[in-house]
Amino acid sequence: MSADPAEVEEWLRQLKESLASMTSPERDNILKEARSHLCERLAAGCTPSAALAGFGSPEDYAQRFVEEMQTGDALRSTDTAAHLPVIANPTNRTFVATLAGVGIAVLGVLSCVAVLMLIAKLFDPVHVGVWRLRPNGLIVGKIRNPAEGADLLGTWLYPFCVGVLALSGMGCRALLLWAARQLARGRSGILA
Amino acid sequence: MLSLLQERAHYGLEILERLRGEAGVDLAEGTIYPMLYRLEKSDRVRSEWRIDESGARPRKYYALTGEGRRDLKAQLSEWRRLASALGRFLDRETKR
Repeated sequence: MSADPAEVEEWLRQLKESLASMTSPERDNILKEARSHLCERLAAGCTPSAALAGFGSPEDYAQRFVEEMQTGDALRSTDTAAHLPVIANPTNRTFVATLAGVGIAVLGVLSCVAVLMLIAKLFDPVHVGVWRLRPNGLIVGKIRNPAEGADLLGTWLYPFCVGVLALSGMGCRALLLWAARQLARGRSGILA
Repeated sequence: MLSLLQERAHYGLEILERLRGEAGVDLAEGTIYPMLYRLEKSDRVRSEWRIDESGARPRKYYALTGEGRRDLKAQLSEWRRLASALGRFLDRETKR
């Protein structure tokens, strides 16, 4: 089976290139289906340009499949990192993606603070902590004179920071999964 | 689209032409095939390659799965509820 006219063959060649990130069977399936469709259109008397018009550029057409693949893979994956490309994708700039992005940024900052506190406490256990200062101040970090305040956590700071890290990780994962599901649901429009 | 596939298996171009001709929905090829890909990935449709009657051309046929039927039922129910609510809302002027 050949779609033949040079314009169509060139379009299919570019489509194949643009689908490079997909697995070989999936890529071949998409190409075979596009070729079959184009052959049928040409056989019905359509010009190559008219037959190709509905597909758009090969790059844009391929991008839709790649995005579907990423969203599908993210939803099936237990790996949090797999969800990130879906949320970060420019075409998914929605309220859901923004909300997830803000949530992840907040949790990321919390995690960084927890890591820094852990490291600082290891190197300077006397001056680093969560300090309550008289009369009613609170400092998270390092103070010059430990006698000025009371260390609220002491060595409990270690498990506390580890707990913050674990909860942040779980929170990020839940947010990413929720956002990926919402985005996938949003794409399943009324036409489906 | 799920409603079309409920009748029998269709191939992409056939779906496109029926949606255009019967539902007045002018979908582009660039929209319909990624949508079918998504439906297949989410197990709402399954596909198989068949050779057309003349034996010259392979066509990828899509058919509804059990999951697709359940989804169609849920979406139809939601669509009817929404259409009915909108109808009542729009008819309020004529009742006054």
